[in-house]
Amino acid sequence: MNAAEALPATAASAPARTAVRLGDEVLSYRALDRASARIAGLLIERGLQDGRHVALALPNVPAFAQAYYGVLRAGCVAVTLPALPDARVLRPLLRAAGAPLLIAWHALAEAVDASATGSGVDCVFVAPRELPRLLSGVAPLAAVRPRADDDVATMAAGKGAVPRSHGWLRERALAAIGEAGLGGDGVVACEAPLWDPAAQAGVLHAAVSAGATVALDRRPVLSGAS
Amino acid sequence: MVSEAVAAVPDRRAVAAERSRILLTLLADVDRLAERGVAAIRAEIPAYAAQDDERFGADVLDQVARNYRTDLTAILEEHEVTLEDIAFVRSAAMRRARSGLALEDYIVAFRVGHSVLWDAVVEAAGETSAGHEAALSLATPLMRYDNFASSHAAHAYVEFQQYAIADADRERRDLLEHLLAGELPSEGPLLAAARAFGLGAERRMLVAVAVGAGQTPDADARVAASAAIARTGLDQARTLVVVRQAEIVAVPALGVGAGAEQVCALVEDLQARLAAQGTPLALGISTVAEGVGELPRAYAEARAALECVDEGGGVAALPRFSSFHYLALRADATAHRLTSPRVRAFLDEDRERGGVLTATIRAFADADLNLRAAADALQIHPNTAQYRVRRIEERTGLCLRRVSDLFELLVAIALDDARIPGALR
Repeated sequence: MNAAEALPATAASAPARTAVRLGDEVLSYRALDRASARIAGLLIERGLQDGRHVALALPNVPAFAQAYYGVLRAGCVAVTLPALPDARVLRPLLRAAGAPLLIAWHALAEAVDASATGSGVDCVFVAPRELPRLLSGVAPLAAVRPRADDDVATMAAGKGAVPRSHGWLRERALAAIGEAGLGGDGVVACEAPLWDPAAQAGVLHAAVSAGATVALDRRPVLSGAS
Repeated sequence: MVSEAVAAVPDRRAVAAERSRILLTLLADVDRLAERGVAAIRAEIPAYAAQDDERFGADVLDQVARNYRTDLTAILEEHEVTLEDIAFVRSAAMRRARSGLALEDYIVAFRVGHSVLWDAVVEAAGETSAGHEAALSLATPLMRYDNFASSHAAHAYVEFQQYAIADADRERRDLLEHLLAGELPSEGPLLAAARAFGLGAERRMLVAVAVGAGQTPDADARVAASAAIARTGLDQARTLVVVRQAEIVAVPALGVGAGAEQVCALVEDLQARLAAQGTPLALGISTVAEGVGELPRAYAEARAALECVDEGGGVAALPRFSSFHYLALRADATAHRLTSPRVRAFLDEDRERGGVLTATIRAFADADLNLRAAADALQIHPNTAQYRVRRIEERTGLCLRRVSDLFELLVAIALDDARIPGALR
């Protein structure tokens, strides 16, 4: 089963509950579900679904959750890169990702453009206030694309990265929920970078499965941004 | 044994005599009996105990006494009670409905009153077997009266309530039509209703228009949403809220402690709450109407504001819009055509990639042309911001530090936003 099924299920039962919070920026489960459906629609429009790789280079911002669940919803594999504005770091990772599309944070735009030049990778940037413009006119993918438990859901880009399946995501999330006794009124502070699949499973997906809130760190969102 | 049993059965005439005696005893003391009945009602039903209006108390006492008297007399005279006999119940039921007493409480009061009357019958019966037989023979007619009177009371109560609701609904609709025509009713019940809603000729008001978002809501959902808006109390008085064909129209009055911003915040909370309950609404809120004469304009504004709400619902509150954004919202096709093709192409292309350069232009304007502050807001290096500004200038042929050029870009962005639901807020 596609692990992203957890999101519409939680959005249906607790639409107004906060899914992700970063300072004053608050994303409800309803808004997260809708945005992920549109991002999935954007991927489908570009011919990306069911097992195709989509690279994500986003820091710990609410847009990470939107893009991540959009990718899973379309049945694609999220290949995550650290959000470092350095073309020397990004170029090899992007090449290893094997993704025809990269969704990246706006602050990385110049580094990403320099990394992707000549690679054939299409780049879309996420700037918070601009997201509605990017997604306008895109037909949302209401349903979640079916995937098997052992289909790959996510992996960190780079040599030696271990592909993680939808079943693994669910199991790790359930284990984290059990360990923390996480419920619908719970808040999970997320300090680990979300590009790490362990944080995706143990924090983000655990919270989404339990209907809890992920509280992101308010520190500058990019390491090495200055 | 047989002779003892026969001897134990009281003589029929003796029972009839006891029956009459009991009824006459109670009738002679009916006022005091009614006082006991009222005391029991107040003791057992909190809603009655909470009423400290003397007229209400006197009315209840009078009703209990009348019921007892009618009941006992009908049994004594051996005639069936008719609706005419208990006409007083009907008017009392309406008074209870108007006073806000719950129907359940009203009907329970009948049961309590009946119980007190029965206790009095048993007490008056004494210890003789004829007395006991007489009391037993009274049980059925007493219960029959109680059922008859309480059913009639419940019917009258509900009938009045339905009439009152329909009448109030008609009154609200009529009042709204007057207001949307820019008139305050000059006299009569509509003027009184307007005052009850806190509305006056010179009063400052807003108009909010709501329509269902997402799936087409049914009429019940609209009525439920309308009731929720009315309950919210958008101002200190009650709020005029009317379901008008496919839309809900509210006219909150503004006053001390209820400014436009507070009303907008309340409407947003309400929208979120209703959406969470499965009734997503799109709401448009007008700018402030300075008196009833401006309400037609405010209504048109609120409807126009609806166009900026996402398909999933939300609130577009014009009091929160700048005139700049409002002009962009109302711009016609000519305004869009007047945008330079080069700028339009730049914005279209940038939007396809996520709007990185558009975000830079906005941040630069928000930072009062301070590039370092814009870079901080975007969490990018100032050199990166400088590089982006150069790219924007190359692509558009406009200079961001020249106010007229920056303004042209901001207008083009605002016009672009106005075409995208949810972007212009």
